[in-house]
Amino acid sequence: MGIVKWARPRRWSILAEAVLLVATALVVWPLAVQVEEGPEPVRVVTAYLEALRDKDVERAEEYVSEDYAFDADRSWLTPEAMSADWEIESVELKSASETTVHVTLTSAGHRADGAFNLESDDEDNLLITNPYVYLQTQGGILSTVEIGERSAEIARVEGYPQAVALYPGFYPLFASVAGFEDGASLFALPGSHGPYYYGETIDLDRLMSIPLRENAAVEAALNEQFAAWLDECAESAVAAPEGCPFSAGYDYAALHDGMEDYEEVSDLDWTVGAYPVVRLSPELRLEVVEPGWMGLSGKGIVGYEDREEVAIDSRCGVDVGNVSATIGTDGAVALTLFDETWNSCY
Amino acid sequence: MPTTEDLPTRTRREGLRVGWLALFAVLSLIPLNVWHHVREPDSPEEVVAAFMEAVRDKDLDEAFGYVDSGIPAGPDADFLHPDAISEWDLLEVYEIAGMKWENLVRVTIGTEDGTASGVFKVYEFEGEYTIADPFQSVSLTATSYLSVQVNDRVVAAEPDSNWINWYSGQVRRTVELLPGVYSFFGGEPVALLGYQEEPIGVVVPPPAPGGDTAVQLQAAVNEYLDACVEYRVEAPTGCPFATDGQVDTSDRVRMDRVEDAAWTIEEYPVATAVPGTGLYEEPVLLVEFTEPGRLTLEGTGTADFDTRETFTAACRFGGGLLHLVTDVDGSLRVAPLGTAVDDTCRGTE
Repeated sequence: MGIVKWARPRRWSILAEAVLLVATALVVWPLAVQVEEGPEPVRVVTAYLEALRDKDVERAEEYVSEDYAFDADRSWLTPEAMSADWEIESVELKSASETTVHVTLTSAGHRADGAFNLESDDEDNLLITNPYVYLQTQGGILSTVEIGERSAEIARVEGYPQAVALYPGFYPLFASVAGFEDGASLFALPGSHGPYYYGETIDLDRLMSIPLRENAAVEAALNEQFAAWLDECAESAVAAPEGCPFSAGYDYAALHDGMEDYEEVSDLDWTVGAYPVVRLSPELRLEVVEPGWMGLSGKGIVGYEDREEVAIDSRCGVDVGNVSATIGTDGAVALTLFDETWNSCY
Repeated sequence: MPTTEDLPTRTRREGLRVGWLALFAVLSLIPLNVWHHVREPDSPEEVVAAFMEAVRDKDLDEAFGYVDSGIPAGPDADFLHPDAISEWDLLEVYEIAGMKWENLVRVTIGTEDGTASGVFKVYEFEGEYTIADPFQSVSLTATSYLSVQVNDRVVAAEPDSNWINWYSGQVRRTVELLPGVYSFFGGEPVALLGYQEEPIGVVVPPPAPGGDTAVQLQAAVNEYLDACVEYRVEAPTGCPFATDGQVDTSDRVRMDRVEDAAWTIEEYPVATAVPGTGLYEEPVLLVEFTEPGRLTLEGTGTADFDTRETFTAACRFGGGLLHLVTDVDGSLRVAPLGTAVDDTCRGTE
């Protein structure tokens, strides 16, 4: 058997097939890439969102422009504080503008539509100018915030609460607070709550006002805390129990009951006359539904001339306006005084 | 007749045939692509005409593709929706002036009620034409509604923490629209088109009282007052009754330094809605009481500044503090407006 040579037609056939394959690849490949990844701005935003989904801060920040960043608390821009519980539904250019990329994210029945702005840096890299959502609170009851799985006190600069910078994502809010286990949430995405052009600040107090006021467990906890606090304070035997929301103390006498000044008081005994009923106002401060009062009995000397010892039998109001309610890192509500309590007797 | 050809050769030929077919299929995309480019508008007039036709046909994705600027997102895009676009005809599109990079195109649209014209700016960049921000911003003053209605689309106003925040939101509720003909809350249609420098202001009057408005109003007022008397304080927030700390008892004794207040409604006021002006001079329906009703204030006070005693005093309801708003389902609600009353007890028999 001799050497087998290729027949001429077969050789041409193989060559033609090879050329055909290369030509097809050359035509299809760029089209396939274009269809799969879209234009450059879409690729950048998709890459940013995918980095967030992977909780890869370093990779995400490669797509971020710092030129428009707000002065904010960046301690939440960490893998521990990020949310990956969401899906990318679409990333697209809707208009002829290549600087605005529209995004739709979803998460278990929730949906957010928003948009990112992009601009080129000095090296022609496209960067996102509104990569974060900012949360702002006045600090009152929300002096501590729980976003996703992280709970921390709001950072302050010269006493003023700083805004929290947050990566886009779906975040349960205050999940440790009774009644909020499946309740409040925030789908953070630039443009989904308001204008997206230069970064978006969300008023957290406003966002949480209705959920907190509609949370019966929070209202019950506030009233229970208040009652327990008054019971504890009632054990005091002084005119102005320290750290309590009522007082018979007076600068010009040992005790003032709203009518008379007393000196050399003794046997003071506080009792709870009526526990206050409180709820949260729309501004998330405590408001009185039913005022509370404390009974005060004892003895004291009244008058400047006769200096007669008389029995004290007085009422002192519970100064709810001086009480601050806060939610702690453990999700429990706590009551503290804004300031020293002034005389509240009448 | 059995073939003498080897099987591998046959397979290769068939593969080659499939390959040719694939190549033709791919190459056929090229003329399609060319055709697509040929069809794309390549003059300012054509791009504006294509944009307006897409809007008229409610094909928003197509329309947005001709826009130079970004598209509003989230709540700002609530009314960039087919339901918010009404029927109109595109009558005329022609270029009125042109510069190298900016062209002006006049558009006329019409309905059976009339015609309207506007001028769009068209930019040119590397042979492509795009329309400069064609969106129509409308600043609605709609303080008598808990929703916004544009043509057939109704969107509930987002719940706000309190009535004041809600009110300030509804005083200047900016909505972004595509060019077209719009009716707000069923009012007179207005044509909005052309490049816009400033938002257009539209003040929406309160709805005209209907057949059962009086019944609904009274029920809403009663419900509102029931919630008010739950608060045992001297001046419940947003409520049309209060004591300033001095009351005259039924025995005509002046009591001072009122504490331990508790309110009881004896007789609801008779409410009626009257046209008035809101905090921003906009038309609203104020709640007025044609009969002031009656409520009792119980509490403690002092007549001699020496002893404290319980008292009962007669009080009435004051009007002018409340106004009517229509919820998204058409039901009526009562909302506070303006400053609270100081005292509605002294002088009440």
